[in-house]
Amino acid sequence: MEIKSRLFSGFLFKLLAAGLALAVLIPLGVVFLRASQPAGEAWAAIVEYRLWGYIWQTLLLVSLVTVIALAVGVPTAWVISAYDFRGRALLDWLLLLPMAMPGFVAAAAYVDLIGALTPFFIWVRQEWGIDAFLRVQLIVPWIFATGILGMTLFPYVYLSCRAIFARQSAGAIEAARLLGEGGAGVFFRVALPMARPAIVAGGSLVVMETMNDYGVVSLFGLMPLTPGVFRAWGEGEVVVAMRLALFLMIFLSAVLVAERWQRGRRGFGDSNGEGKLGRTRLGRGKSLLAVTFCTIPLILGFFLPVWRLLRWCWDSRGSAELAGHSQAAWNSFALAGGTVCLLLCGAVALVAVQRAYGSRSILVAQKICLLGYGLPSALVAVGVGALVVFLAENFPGGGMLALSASVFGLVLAYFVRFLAVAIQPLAAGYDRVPGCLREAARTLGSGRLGAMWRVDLPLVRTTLLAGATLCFVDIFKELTLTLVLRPFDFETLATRIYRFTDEGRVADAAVPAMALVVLCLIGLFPLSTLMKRLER
Amino acid sequence: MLAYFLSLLMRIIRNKWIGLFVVLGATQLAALGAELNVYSHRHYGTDQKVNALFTEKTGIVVNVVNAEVDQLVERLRSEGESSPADVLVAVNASRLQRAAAEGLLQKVETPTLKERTPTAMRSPEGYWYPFTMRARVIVAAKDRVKEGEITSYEDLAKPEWRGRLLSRSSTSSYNQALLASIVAANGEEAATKWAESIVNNMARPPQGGDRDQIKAVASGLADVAITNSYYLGLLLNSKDADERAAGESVRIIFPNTDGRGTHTNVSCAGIAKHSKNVAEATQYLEFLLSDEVQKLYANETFEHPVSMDLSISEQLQKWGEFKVDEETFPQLGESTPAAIRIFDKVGWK
Repeated sequence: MEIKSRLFSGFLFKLLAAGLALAVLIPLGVVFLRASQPAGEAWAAIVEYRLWGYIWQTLLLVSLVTVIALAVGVPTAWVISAYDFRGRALLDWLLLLPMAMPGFVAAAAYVDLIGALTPFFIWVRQEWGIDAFLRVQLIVPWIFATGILGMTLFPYVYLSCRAIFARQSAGAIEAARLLGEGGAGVFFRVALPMARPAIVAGGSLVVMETMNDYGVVSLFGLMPLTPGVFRAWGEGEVVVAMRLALFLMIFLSAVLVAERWQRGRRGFGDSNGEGKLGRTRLGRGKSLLAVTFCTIPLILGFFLPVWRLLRWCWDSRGSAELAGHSQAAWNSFALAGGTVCLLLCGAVALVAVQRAYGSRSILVAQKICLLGYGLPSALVAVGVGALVVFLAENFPGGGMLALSASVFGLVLAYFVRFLAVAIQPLAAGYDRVPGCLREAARTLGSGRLGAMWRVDLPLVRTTLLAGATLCFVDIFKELTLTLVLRPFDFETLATRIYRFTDEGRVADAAVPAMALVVLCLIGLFPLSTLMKRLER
Repeated sequence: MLAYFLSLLMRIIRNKWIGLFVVLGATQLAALGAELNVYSHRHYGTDQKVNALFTEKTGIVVNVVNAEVDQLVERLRSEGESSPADVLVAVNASRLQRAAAEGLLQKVETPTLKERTPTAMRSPEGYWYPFTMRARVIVAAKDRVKEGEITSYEDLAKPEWRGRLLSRSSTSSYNQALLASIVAANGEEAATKWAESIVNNMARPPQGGDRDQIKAVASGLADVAITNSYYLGLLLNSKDADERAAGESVRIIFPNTDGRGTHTNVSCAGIAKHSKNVAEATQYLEFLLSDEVQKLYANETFEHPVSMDLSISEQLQKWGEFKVDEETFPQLGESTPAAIRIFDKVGWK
């Protein structure tokens, strides 16, 4: 009897895991299905007039942003890892700060500067004529957009390189130093090649974030694929939107496959126990140089936008928008809080239960759910959006469903995108928990779930919490999905910041923007502790 | 903890997220007297004032749900018979034409509605009525563009304006309606050529709203811009001195007054098909056309009154009379798809 019921509960959990995997695959399935339907004239028009522009803008944007992020992230990580100078410890921590600055918030702080450049544009027209004037007008928004994305995304590269410089290549670097290589030689001939997996890993995160960005590019009038998908969706050209989303998917898959391929081709042996890299003490002049080099991206990616936003906050005191702000903040909190609860349940069902039962099929489901993070935001948005419309139109009581479906759609989309963010820290936490503890509990008569509840989960509590915080912050600052799927007459802090910036009311955007930054800062603490833990 | 969050989620699902429930909640609060549910694209402070005035006069509480008109129409469609909406308000006649064609609006005809609105600018079948007029005009820098140098939209296509012209993006329904009117007036081929020349003449890729275009002309970035007239009115009467100065530095041009007239769209309202408060909704539509409300709009948002009686607003009087393009107005809805196609073709962002 008892065995039967256990088998049954195991079956239920497998069913649950299969359901979760299916939920993650739904948007992709919907998009494939709808994209294969005939699109008629609309698609032909897109192919003729817009597709090429979407593609080259996407490629140019992604390459420029990645180059900037690498050019800033790798050298700063090297300077912080290999040298010792006054302020190093502080900078090590400060360089994470741009992560708390969502791109569209930084864009809000910078966007009016283009207006301030008008005298320069007029000067160009007077000096170099109308053609140069037009060209400069085209280029400047690109400089701003790629610069902002690069300066807020480089910490991904910094973090991954920092970890590898500090540990993995320590031995080889010491050897090179002993053999008489100078600082630059060590960097270019030893550290850089050995850090390649970390550079590619960090770089591919930058690529993903850039492709998923809607706020920055649309505020500066760029038109790569993601806004292209939204434009088609907004015009009611569902099939066109789906096909464009598939293009995004192809780009992203190519990047992820390349990342895998280069990682798997050569062994970069995880050389534990090689010891820490000793830091070279820098003289006064060089220290100053190092500090300056690390501070510039920090100022551009964090302090300058924060300073401008704070000034506008001060200017907008007593503004009539405050009630709207608090309503939006409340919406963001409740939405993120509610979804995080669901995500935690999902992560526990996929990771903790999998360990408790040692089930292979749940592990497969878990791997599938990790894919969700690799799906382009625009694809998830239109996939879930189309699903919501389909449900509303095809089921009785469609009217009512359409209303509640809006909430349903948004939560489902967050769930698909961020389940991996909840799973990964938990799985990492489990890897550090010795299995013998669980076995001991089982020997002492505890059931599978009992052992999970009383032994495993308390041990991974910290990583579970860290994962929850990451999810919370990710959802809180999410803009791309929210803009498409948000319910009627409903704003989060993120959509509000975007709307005010788009309407040219940056001062009104400042208060919600600062609130968002502060919240993201809180989210940085678990991230940095998590990184430290995983590093050990 | 989990239960707490779930209960929060549920509370929000019920109370905050959904227009219907907001409306129902408001109904309970305002149990006294009748009420009216308005789905509106308009979101100026003046609109709130107008609604408050309506409540004051009639005792009917107005509950407003604000969103883009396309979203509102989609909502109406999916709500079907259970829709709480009584009135649908849009800022572009073609959107209400489409809603009427889909059977989402109901006919209403009263002497007041017919007398106070120009025949050419309302739904011939009585599905919707205009309550403000919105002229799409040209503004030119006073110091760099001579008077009489531009008299029509077609003038903007001339090569001498290369690198001197500004307009917002083609996703704006104002630009779509303008090009639709040019398609209706001159044919698709001529309209394509016009749009192509406009793109070639632009001083920068389209960005920002109409107000930003006027400010950019004032800053010297360009010399002429296409904008709705009331944005200039808002700048000229702004609390901010810089905005007033920007408004003062440009001249307003009502184009094509010698020909078909200036392209003018309308803010318009119709009664939802499944409205449960038709009498109140009709009363609301008539109220929007009352002298008091027309005067309020003319002096606060600087839109033109449907009567085109300029004496009610000093600002409008200063700008002077102009001829409204009534010729192409009825065809705006059917020409809009062609306009969108042309925008794509000529690469107007």
